[in-house]
Formats: sequence, C-alpha cells, structure tokens
Amino acid sequence: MQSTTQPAAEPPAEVKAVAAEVYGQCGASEFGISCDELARILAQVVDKYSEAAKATPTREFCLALKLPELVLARACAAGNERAWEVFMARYREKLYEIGMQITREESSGRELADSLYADLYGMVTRDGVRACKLNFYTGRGSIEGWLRTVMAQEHVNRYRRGKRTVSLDEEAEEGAQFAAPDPDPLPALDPRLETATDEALEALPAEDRFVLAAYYLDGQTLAAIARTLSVHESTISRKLDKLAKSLRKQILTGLTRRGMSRRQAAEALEADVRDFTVNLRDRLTQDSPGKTFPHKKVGAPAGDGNG
Amino acid sequence: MDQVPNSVPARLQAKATGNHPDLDLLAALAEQALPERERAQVLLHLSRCADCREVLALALPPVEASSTSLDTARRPGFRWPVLRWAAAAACVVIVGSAVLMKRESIMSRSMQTARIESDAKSAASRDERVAEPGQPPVESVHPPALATSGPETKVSPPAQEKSARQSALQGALGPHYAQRGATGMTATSGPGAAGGMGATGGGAFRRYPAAPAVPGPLQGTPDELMAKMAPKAAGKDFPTEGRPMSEVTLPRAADEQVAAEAAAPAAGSLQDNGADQLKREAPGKAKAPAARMMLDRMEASGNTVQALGQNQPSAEASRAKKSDLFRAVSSNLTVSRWTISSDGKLQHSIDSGKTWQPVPVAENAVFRALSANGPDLWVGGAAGLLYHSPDAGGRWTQIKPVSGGSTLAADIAAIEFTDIRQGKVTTANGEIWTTSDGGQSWRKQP
Repeated sequence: MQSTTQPAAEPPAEVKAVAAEVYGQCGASEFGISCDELARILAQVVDKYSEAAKATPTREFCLALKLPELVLARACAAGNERAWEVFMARYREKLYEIGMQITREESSGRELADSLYADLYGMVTRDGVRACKLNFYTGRGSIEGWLRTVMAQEHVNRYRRGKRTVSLDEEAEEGAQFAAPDPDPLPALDPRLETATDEALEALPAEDRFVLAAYYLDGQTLAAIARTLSVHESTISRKLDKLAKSLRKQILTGLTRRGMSRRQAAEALEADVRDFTVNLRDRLTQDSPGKTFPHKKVGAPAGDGNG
Repeated sequence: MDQVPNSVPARLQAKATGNHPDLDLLAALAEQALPERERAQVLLHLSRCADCREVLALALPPVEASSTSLDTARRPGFRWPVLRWAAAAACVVIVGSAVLMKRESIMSRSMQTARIESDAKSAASRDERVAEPGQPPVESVHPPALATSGPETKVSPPAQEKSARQSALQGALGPHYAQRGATGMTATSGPGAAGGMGATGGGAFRRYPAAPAVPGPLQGTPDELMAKMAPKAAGKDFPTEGRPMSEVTLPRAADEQVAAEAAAPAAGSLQDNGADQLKREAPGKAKAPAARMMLDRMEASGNTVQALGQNQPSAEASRAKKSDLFRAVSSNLTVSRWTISSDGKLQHSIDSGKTWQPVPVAENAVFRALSANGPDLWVGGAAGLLYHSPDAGGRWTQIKPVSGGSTLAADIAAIEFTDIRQGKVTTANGEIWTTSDGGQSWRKQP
C-alpha cells in the first residue's frame, strides 16, 4: 500500500485525452493533482476493471466514474490537507451515521466509524508505508456507498472474529465437553434430482438466482431484496412466485427425461431436505470469512486489494 | 406464494467461485451504477456467495437515506404516492370546475330574473306617474274596455314619452295603451272609428273586461320578438291613420274577461257609454306552451328585455321595462294582431300593433266585428255580411248563416269564436246565431 499514487506506466492516449477533457471539471487542480496524475489514476482504474473497460469504450467508461469523488479520495490518500478538510466536512458525521445504521447501536457504531477513520487516514503502516484505504476507491460508485460497504465488511469481520473466539470457561458452562457425537450425515439427494435442479438453476438469469438465494438462503425480506435491486416489493414477490412454478416444471421435465416416472419425479421434488440444507449452510459458514474478507487478498487484481 | 422445490435451496448453496467483487463494485451495484453486463456478473457471484450478500445487505442505506445515485434507469418511474396525490389533485380540479360552472349558471339566471322583475316594478311605478288621468275621448270613441286592474296592466304612458322603453312596453301591452297617450284618445279606441260604431249601434261593441297586460300570444322566434320589442325609434307614435279602434288583444282565455282592468288609471278617463260596448277580439289565441317555450328560450339565450333598456339612463327603469316584457311574454302575448279600422277595413299587425297593414277581404266591404283564433278569422259587417278565412287572410269565404229557413241579414255586431269550430254571431237587433262546426251549419237561438 502506498500513501501516494505510484508512478505507473504511461497512460494510454485515450486516457490522457479523457483526463484533459475532465480535468477542469473534476476539481483536481484544487487538490494539487496535475493532469498527468489524473491520467495515471484513470489508467489504474481502467486497468483494474479491464474486462468491463473492454466491453465499453474507454472514454465512456471513464466518464461514468465519479470523477470528483475519485479525485478527492486520491488526494486524501496522497495526504493533501485541503482534500482532508473537504473529506472531513462531508463524511465525518456520515461515518458515524453509517456505523450506527450497521451496528444498530451508537457506541458500537462510533467505534466502528473511528476505526475506519483511522484506516482511511492511513494511520496504519505496512512495511514502513502508510496504508490508506482511500487508495482502493475507484470511483465506480459514490464515496458514501463505498464507505458503507467498507464498514459493513469490517463489521462482519469483527463479528466473525469474535464468534470464533470462545472462552474455555464459557464452553465448559455450556457443556461442550458433553457434546454428543456428530450424527450420521444425511443421505445426499438423488443425483438425478441434483442434476435436474442444477440444470434449472443454471438456466436462470443472474438476478433470479440472486433473488432465490437472498430469499431462501439468507432469509432476507422481500423489501430488502427489492431495495437491493431498486424495484418494488411486489415485483420481487411476483418474481419468486413465477420462479417457483417454472423451476418445479423444469425439474419435473428434467427428471422425467432422466428416466423417472411422473409420480416418482413428484415424490422426489417433495423430499424433505431441510436438514441437509442446514448442514450445507453450516459448512459454508465455516469456510469464511478468512478467505472472503481477508487482510490477504482473494484473487484480487495485482497491486490492489480490499484492504 | 408458491415455494420452490426442496432441492433448489440445497443446490443454490454452491460455493462461490472466482474473485469476490471489489467493495466499490458492490457499492456501485447497490447504487445501480453498473452497466448491465457487469451487473449480471456481480449478481451471479452474489447468488453463490453468502458473505458478499451479507455485506451488501448491511451496506444498503436506509430507505430515507438512499443515495441519489440510486435514482437510475432501474428505478421505476411509476410512483404510487405521486400518482395518488396527482389523482386527488385532479379530482379537486374537476369538482371545483363543475361547482364554479354551476354557480355561474345559477347566478346568471338569478340576475336575469332579478333584472326582469325590477324592470317590471319600475315600469309599473313609472306608468302610474305618467298615466294621464283622463283624456277626452274622441267622438264616439268608446272607453277602453281593456283597462287592467293590476299593476302589470297599467295604461301605457302618453306618446310624448319617446323613450324606447315605452315603445317596447307599449308594444308588449297593446297598441291601445299607446294610442291613449299619443292622440289623446282612449287607450282602446281609435280616432273616430269607435265613435262611429258606437254611435250607429249602441250595442255594436261590447266591452270586455280588461285583459291582463298582454293582449295576446306571441308569435315568432324569441329573436324576432326581441327585435320587435326593442325600441326602434324613441318616441315613435303609433300610427294615427287607421288607428284601430278595436285593437284590443286579449288572451285566448280572456274573451270573457276583456281587459277592463288593463289600465286602471286610464279607466276613469275613458268614457263609458253604458250600453255601448266595445268588443274586443283576441287577435290570436295564445299558445301557452309555445309562449313559455319561447320565454325559456329567450331567457336561456339571454335575449331578455335587456334589449329594451338600451336607451335607459337608469338601471331601475331598465329593469322595470324588462319586467314588463317578461310579464307580457308570460301572459301569452302574441305579436300578430287583427283589428278593424275606423273605416271598417280589416288590418293586420305583426309587431304587436306598432304598424298595421290592410288585409283585403271583399271589395267595398265594411266590417265592424272581428274574431281571430290564430289564423282562423271571422269578420262581420252590416246586413249580415260575414266572411271567414282559415289561413290568416290568405283566402276568404263569404258565409251566409241559415237556420230554420231564415237567413242572417241583420247587422253583425259581434263575433265570438272560442275555437275554430265553436262560434257565436250576435247581431245588432239581438239575434244570436251559433255554430259548432266552424260555420258549416248554424242555429239561430230563439
């Protein structure tokens, strides 16, 4: 992590042109960022999202970024005092609000906000270099939205770290030493049913899968899912209804295509796999968060991470 | 809501593959700032990664604190709260407009009615002021049998008053009223004519009680009526030549109540020769429904007596005149009138007596009696001279009543037809001949 933007390879001409075009509008000069530096920042972002940038013209991709906020964040990361004045004026109280909204508690929220603030300011040093999380802001969304996701991630990490940390005394009180042996694993689903189900799920659009997962796996409310997708709650309700009917139909078709009779297929669909579902959920939980929100990166593009 | 098959949640829990999306991408997804392709990729990962879903769910702002970047193309433009208020506002506008329009209509009608009534009142009071107590009757001119008894039937002002309002009022109430003022004659008599008749036959004319203000039913469209009633020339007198002596126009039902009350103040000034009676014939039967319809049309179209008050200096006088006209209209005033001139000629007026046109009946025929039921006319004269026209004088047929071997040969003093079939002819010597079939057959009463 660098406290200032690293001199990178010469930005492409397209990026330079865009930088020159937007330099006067994004307020970069106010924070001491030159046009060349702006071009380098844009080049980093384009490089990070190379696949998305390839699908979209570079100029269009760059113009879609939140350039003023990107400039502010990078200026703060570079230690510009004027930028920090602006940042604090805009987002200090916001941080506390976000913290309280996430933790649902004032003290925890302020603590969360203060810890993030320290990370943002770069009070953490790594290898003698001040690490600033603002360097990871790329301008795809707003700074406020990015701050929300960062704080949410930090909160989840804290929760899981605390969960894993158990007191031996507490375990003794709970009678962990008398825990019963693990029960026999439940029988797996009929492979034909698994295959037919996988086929039906693969055919679904990503949004439909997300809705199913959020509703049936996470237990999110229709309103929360609707807010995520910026649609009306009734839209989600209708979508789930429609998906249930279509999935049933497609799985039945797949099962009959695999040699089951209609009756057998129907019986297979009605098989109770609740226990099985719960077990899978537990196993999935144990796999994270170390890999998901690490201090180590998980497959992140080189040179950047999620902090 | 239908539930998915039980196998679906189990298979949904596939482990996430590939890179976790950048936190900035998650924020951009929540703000709907990602292009469609990239959004689908992030959602696909989210569908398989519970952790990322958990972070995203926590990172979503509260509803009231949603960032403005959420207002993207994915946000539906159809907002029920906005539509609800828009519908409420539209209802208020529609109801308010309807109420205003209704109120304007009601106010307009009430104002018209008020103007008409006040015009009538002021006209009545004006008539009292200007009605001359008495004019010396012309020789043998009979007093006006049409003096009215009510305020609505005041005698018309003298002709010296040249205002348009008076002309219109005179036209509405009857030419006999105007005559009185203009020529000094009685309101119901013409120059000399009545006297002659009265002189020759004491009972040549029978006086009828005063009719209500209006002599007869209106004929013509409301526009024509208003045009005629509007003052054409201030102070224009009624024509003296051929001034009818029996131009009383009575309502259809007023045959028995000749307008003796027509001009109460003038009644005193009219000479009444006692036995002399001035028979007044209704110029035309009023068609009450038609008159009312025309009145309604006049009111609706705004053609009220307002036209009469064009030259009125005062609003009160204008209102009085309008009121008079209103009453005239409502009392089945007819524009078309018939009369017998002083020299025994049949005359017709289509402007309520302002002007008269001679109607040829028979050469050298002199008539003294007249009966008109719309277009059905009967005229009678000396020596049993009797003519009938079913088409308002277009063609005439001489009738010779015969009954029991005797023929009507006396001077006809009066003709009364209640309708086109039922009629009675009275002679100077007291004979009474009746018919019930429009003159096809007659019966002489004993």
